[in-house]
Amino acid sequence: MIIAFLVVRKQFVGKGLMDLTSMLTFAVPGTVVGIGYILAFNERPLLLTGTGAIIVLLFIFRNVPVGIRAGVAALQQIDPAIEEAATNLGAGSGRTFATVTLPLITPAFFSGLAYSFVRCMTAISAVIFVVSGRWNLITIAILGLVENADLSQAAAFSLVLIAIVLSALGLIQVGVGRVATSQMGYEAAG
Amino acid sequence: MSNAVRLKNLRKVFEGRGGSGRVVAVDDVSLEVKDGSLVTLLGPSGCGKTTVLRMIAGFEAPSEGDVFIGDERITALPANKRRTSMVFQSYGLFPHMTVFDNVGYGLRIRKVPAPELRARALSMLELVGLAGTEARLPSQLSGGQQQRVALARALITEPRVLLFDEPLSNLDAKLRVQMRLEIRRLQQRLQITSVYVTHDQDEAMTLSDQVVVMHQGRIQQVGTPPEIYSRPRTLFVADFIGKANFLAGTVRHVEGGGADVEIAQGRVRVPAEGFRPGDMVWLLLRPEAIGLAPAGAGRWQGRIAAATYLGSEIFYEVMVGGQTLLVKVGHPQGATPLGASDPVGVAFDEGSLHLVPREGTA
Repeated sequence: MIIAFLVVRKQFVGKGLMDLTSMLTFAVPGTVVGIGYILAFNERPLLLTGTGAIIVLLFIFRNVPVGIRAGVAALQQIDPAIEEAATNLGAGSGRTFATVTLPLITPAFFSGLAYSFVRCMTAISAVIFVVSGRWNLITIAILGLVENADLSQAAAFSLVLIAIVLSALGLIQVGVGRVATSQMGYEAAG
Repeated sequence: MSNAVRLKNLRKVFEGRGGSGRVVAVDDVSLEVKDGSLVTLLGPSGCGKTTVLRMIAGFEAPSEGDVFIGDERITALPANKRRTSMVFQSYGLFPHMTVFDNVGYGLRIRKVPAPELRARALSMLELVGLAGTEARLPSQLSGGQQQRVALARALITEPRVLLFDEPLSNLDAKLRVQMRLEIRRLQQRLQITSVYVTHDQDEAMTLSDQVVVMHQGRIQQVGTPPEIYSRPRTLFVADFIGKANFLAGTVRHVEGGGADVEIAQGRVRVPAEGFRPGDMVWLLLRPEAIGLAPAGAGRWQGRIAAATYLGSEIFYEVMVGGQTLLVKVGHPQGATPLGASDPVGVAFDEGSLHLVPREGTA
């Protein structure tokens, strides 16, 4: 969100570059990213292969662009005068961000979160390289089961996965809905 | 403590992307806004007036020059420490807060205790005529009401200077007239030093103690509204403010606060100062200073080329010696308006004429 804020509102050297790099992990094919992570974290001091951390890290960096894009889109909708008004009334830039900008982009934040979550739950391309015996992922387990022709267990796992994703989506939806109604004038006024 | 605003040789250059296309938005602007007075910056879009305002607020840093409030130099002071309040064209209300929270925002930042904040916010809402709306969201109010909320929000912090950035241009014509009277009334009652940016000359004329006409980043003229209207110093000011006829002429003789000017239609004597024989001038003739007389009477003879009926008045275009003069006539109730190609006489008082310098050959 902070990167999004910087990209939209500020002028500085290398702004275009930052915008581009923030998109990079999104543009590169998942398999490439996965192999890259194994190679990069296979040696000390960054020996992460085979841990749960590497899965989490991979998901975070692979989905950062989603959050940034959602933030950028939301920020571009906000009239700069709104932030200037806050500054004008005595709020410093941190205060302005916290009291005015952040509440206005919260819905975008949550929808970015929902999207990222679903993508993480169903991803297979990049993570297939970084999972291990102890830290497996349900999608990869399903793939393995299908390969072993253990279709009934695969179907059961799939059902569980669908149930988790749907209920998580539902929860986020309710959360966003509440935030959105509390500031429902925003779209209308925009 | 004086809250006069002083601008000293203010200059702002915008660099284009990649160093190309430098734009000088504000060029050598010096100005004094007296404590408690309202000054308008008037000019067409792109003349730099908003940039000047944003430099006073601290949203833009000047490339050169200084900004003072009273005796304090505030050029390097961040916007949130300047104690200036701005009313924006797009209102800039916080859409996720109620009207009450919007108005109280400045006080909450200053950590004013809740009971005092509540009392002051409510009395401020009453001052702008919005009592009872405090629990609503900005989107539930009309444009005029939203701008009043913005005004209340700006006033509540007791700013040293109040800044207006074309606050009425999003409102319809009737509301605009009503709001500008209200702004003037509040400003005079609270005696707040104010700078008001607009491209609407009616707004500038009705609101201001002083009008500053800007063009291409420079100040063209500073004066009271009547001064600006009746004694413009440049062609741009004369043309921008109100309607006017311009007749090209040359000064032939200067004597005792007046000048004899030769124009295509003959010689006229014009009140003028600072001109020398041989100077090229534009003779400025306001449409309402010209009267129509029966054919044969009046100073010059002409024919009606076109008539525009506006209810309370009629604008005639009269051809006089190859030139079209715009003439404004208060509509005489019941009389038949003149038709095209009717011959008429044109009359005016030489005292109402005015000269502005003319450059080059016209």
